[in-house]
Amino acid sequence: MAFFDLPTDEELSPEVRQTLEEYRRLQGREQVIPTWRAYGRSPKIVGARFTAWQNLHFQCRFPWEARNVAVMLIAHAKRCQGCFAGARFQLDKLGFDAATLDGMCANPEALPLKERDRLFVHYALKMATGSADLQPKDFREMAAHGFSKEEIQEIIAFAAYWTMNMVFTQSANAALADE
Amino acid sequence: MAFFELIPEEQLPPEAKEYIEIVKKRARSDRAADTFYVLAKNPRLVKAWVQAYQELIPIPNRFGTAQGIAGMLIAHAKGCRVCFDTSRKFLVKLGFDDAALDNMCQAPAALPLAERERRFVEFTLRAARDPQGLKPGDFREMERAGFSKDEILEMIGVAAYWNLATTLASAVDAGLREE
Repeated sequence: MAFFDLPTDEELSPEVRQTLEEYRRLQGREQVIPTWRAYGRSPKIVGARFTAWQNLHFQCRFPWEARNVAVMLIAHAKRCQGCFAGARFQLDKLGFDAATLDGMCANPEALPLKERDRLFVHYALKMATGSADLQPKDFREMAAHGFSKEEIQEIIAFAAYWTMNMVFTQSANAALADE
Repeated sequence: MAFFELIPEEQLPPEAKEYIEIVKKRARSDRAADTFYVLAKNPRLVKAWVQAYQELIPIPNRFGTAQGIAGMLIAHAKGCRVCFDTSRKFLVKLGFDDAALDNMCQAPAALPLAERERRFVEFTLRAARDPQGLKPGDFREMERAGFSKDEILEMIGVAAYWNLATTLASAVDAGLREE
């Protein structure tokens, strides 16, 4: 038996139900995913997580395709199966085939993307997996590649969101698994 | 010269200023961490961060001082100088001395805390550092130790928040260091 149970719609507050529904709609899914519904009894968590998702991921100015490739690779690096599957779901809708995506995971430094998108993914992955190792020269390098300061801040925020979200997703998946 | 610049208080965009005021009020300080002044040109990043802070690390909160210790240890583990210093200042204000805090950082498995607080800190630290390593039995063990499901949800929220904050703060801090 799993430790967490998934609250039904009737058990959710109207505010949480509306937020989860909006998340589902923007994701283009048929149902609210379990790793979000599992937190449905905590309006604070759902609210904070959704606001972060909207502002740091959904409204991020880099292309949707590049963002989802970045999520897939961050999830792959951090072994977050839920986020990995979510990114693959979005990339599948965009027309990527599984072999191409597997190739990206196997060799993230040689992504078949436009150069600017490839660099976005490279830096997002670097920030999500080792933000404490960043050096001032990394920022000059990003600027030399044509990223503005505001864009670099967006990459940082995007990476930060995913490090947060993976804690929610991986914890929920563990608590939803049968013992 | 640093790559990022700090936006002066009087030039903050109104929406960013509103959220930075919340941070200052929470810290009972006339200045927020520099990271917020760097991100202020992009108010939605500040909004997402501050809302997560408010909702996931509420004041007052049921875990009291242990919340600050968890923040310090997560920041220490993740190498985030900014979050570490902020947490230390908070704990010193509460009456902890530096030697006691240094000892906690060196031996996080032997915290001189009451059993319930120690378990809270250990679980939160673990969820922040290695959420993939959580197992269904870990949640049952916390329940047997007297924690409710709502409290466990909150702990996950604390761990998730610190992953967001340490990634944001350590990356922005690298861009603020002189070359």
